[in-house]
Amino acid sequence: MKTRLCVLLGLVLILGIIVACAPAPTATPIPPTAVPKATTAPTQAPPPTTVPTQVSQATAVPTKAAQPTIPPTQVPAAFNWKKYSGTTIRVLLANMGYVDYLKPKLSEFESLTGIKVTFENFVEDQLRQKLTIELAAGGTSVDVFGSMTIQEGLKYEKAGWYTPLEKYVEDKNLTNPDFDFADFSKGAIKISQVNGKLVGIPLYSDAGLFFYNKELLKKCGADVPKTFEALEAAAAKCHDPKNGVFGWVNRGKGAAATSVFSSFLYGMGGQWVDSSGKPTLNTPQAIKAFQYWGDMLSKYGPPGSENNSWPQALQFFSTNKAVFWAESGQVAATLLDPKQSQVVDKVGFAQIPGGQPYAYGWILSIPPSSKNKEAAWYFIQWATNKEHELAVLKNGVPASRNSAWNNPQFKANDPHPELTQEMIKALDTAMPYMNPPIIPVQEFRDAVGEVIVTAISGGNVKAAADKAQQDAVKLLAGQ
Amino acid sequence: MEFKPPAMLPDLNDWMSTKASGTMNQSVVKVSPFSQFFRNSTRMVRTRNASFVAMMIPAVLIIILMMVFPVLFTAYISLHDWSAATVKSPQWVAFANYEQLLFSDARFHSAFLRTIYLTAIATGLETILGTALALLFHREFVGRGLWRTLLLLPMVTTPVAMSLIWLLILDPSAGVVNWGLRALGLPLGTWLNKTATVLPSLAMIDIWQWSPLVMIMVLAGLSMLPTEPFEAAAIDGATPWQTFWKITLPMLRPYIVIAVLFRLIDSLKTFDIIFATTQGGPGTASETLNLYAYTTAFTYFRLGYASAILVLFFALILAVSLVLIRLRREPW
Repeated sequence: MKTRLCVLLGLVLILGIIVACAPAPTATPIPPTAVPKATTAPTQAPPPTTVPTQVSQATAVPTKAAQPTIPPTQVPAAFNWKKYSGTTIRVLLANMGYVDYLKPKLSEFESLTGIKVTFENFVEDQLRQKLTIELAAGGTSVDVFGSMTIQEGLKYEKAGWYTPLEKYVEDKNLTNPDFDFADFSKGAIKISQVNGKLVGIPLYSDAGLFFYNKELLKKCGADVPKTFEALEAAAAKCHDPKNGVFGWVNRGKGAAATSVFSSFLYGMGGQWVDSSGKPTLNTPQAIKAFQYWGDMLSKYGPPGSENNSWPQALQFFSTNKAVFWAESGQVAATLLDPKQSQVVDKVGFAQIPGGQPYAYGWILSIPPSSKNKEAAWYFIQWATNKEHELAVLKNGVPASRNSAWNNPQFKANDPHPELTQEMIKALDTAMPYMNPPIIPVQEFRDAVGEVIVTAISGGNVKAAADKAQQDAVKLLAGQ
Repeated sequence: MEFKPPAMLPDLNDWMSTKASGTMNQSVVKVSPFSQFFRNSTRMVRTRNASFVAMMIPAVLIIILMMVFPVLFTAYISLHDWSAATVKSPQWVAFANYEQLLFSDARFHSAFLRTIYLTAIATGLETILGTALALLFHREFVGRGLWRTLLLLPMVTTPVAMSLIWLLILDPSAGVVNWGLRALGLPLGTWLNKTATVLPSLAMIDIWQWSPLVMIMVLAGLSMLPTEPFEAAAIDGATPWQTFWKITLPMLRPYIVIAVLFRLIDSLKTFDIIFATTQGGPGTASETLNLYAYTTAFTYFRLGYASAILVLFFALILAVSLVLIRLRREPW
């Protein structure tokens, strides 16, 4: 009996070993299959000489687009939208205002082209995780994906996950003449390029703005500040925590704070990395910026700002509890929505005092592994067409097309000309400084985040900055 | 030989019969639970061999596929430098990941200490509070069933939803706790929002949620205790305090130890509460080993390094569990 048991147990063990070994071969070849793709990507790249001409056209656009109609006379035949009818494409995007607008319209695209769309949208970080896992594993099912070049552009480009799009833009058979690539603003094209290559088509491009509560400002008798010193003085003057009013709100939650903080860092003469690519987190300018950020939040901000990100700041500002705030322009849509905000007619807009506005935005791209690149390109053209860009702009999303901003109907009915004016100004001067131009962006942001939390908690900023510098140097050396 | 029912925890049964029920069992030879299990199973094989094995195979296969293979694969990956974000094949680095973790990664060291700290306060207080609650609920009083049910609610609530509610309750400016403190004229707390207070606040949430589990387990033990020792103690004139320390607590020990074991392993692994409230913040002030591994794997995509963290974490949990199991067997 005992021997029989032994034999049976042995059998089970052998079976188990076979099973355990079976998945191993499929698990290990993942990276090798992905590697050739990375090497083929450069050969697909078209001559980059076309890019500068596109950009120079873009600068000339405002005058051209201001004229109400663009004569479509040169177009000989109607663009064939039905060419790829019957294909199914899979689109992965993050949750954002633009996506909310686009989702109910997908059936229009499907009936226009006959292409079926499987649409998946996620919270930003989840999208990043999903994309990285799917693309690194060599999957071929992603046809269109959204990304933020400032955050992950270099990483994705190095991994070979972007198909260069110049070829598609120029191809008359693939691109609808009404698409009008030259219509995209200069800033929007800037955030769609990585290493000079066009890697996506911009959905929208946003920039940092300064918000103030007109009523509270009037009550404490301060002016709209124009410099860092004036901002601190005005915040001190208006800070009234006994009555639940804070002079300043902003992000303090470590890495989450780095984007808006970049405005202050560059405004004070600091930078993330120097021209040779070496981190510069403990220069006197950077330390000054960290100290300023920490002091503003600990002295004039709500208690415990260390765990606050923009939703908490939005909460304070939209309920009349904060006087000043600097944030990405996109939050204006919430501040101006009477259902979500109590400051609809009290909020004022300006440029970040003394700061260098930062620009960022989301783009749509096609991975080289996609099997339906043409159908995917059709989707991108449709999603970023003039009609949609204009419609989202009306919803408060900073559009990436000049024709939307210059649309006479929009201009005539613009309920917030002050916001529009400041937004155009910010987009004009904004720089893609929000994150350092390196691959391990997130690790770098976490290192910076530690200094920000230390500064808010009243710790030794110099020591924290030295440590972050050390970590960042180590981080970049490891790449 | 006396009849022993087959039990989930043969070891516990063994211990109970030799320790708790007095002189009668002195002569029984203590058998290791392992050999007892095998004795039982051989007996079963003898009676219904083929079907027994056939029924066992799916379970064994699932264990191998879902548990043994992933653990071994994680250990294997931990010996590589593998960044999923740069599409490089995994590079064999032997023990370099471990070397870096153990000797030069300050973030790992702080995460380790935080994990121990959080587990120690949470489990310690949960045990004391849970046992106290069990003693209270062991008595008869009006509305006992209702109160017991109410106390069990935190345990059955969805952890993430509950954490988000706590985030609102503990908000330094708008939260109801600080509102109450302000109304009473007491100093306000910063709770989850400050480096210094974030870990105790998280422990507080954990205690609120999991003390009832300890209570249930100890309560089950209390209801199984024999009445004779208590009667004897009463006759001998023992004070309630003496009865508790000398009789109740020693007899409850196996149940308490099991409860502590459950809570200890769970506390070490706490992820949901922390992730939903602070994501390891402010900065990294509440980043435990679990969160550090998560960030390393799914934000930095350094899979080899994250695997190494998890292997060390696994070793820690295993060591703690072994110590506790030992502790349960040996007398105090």
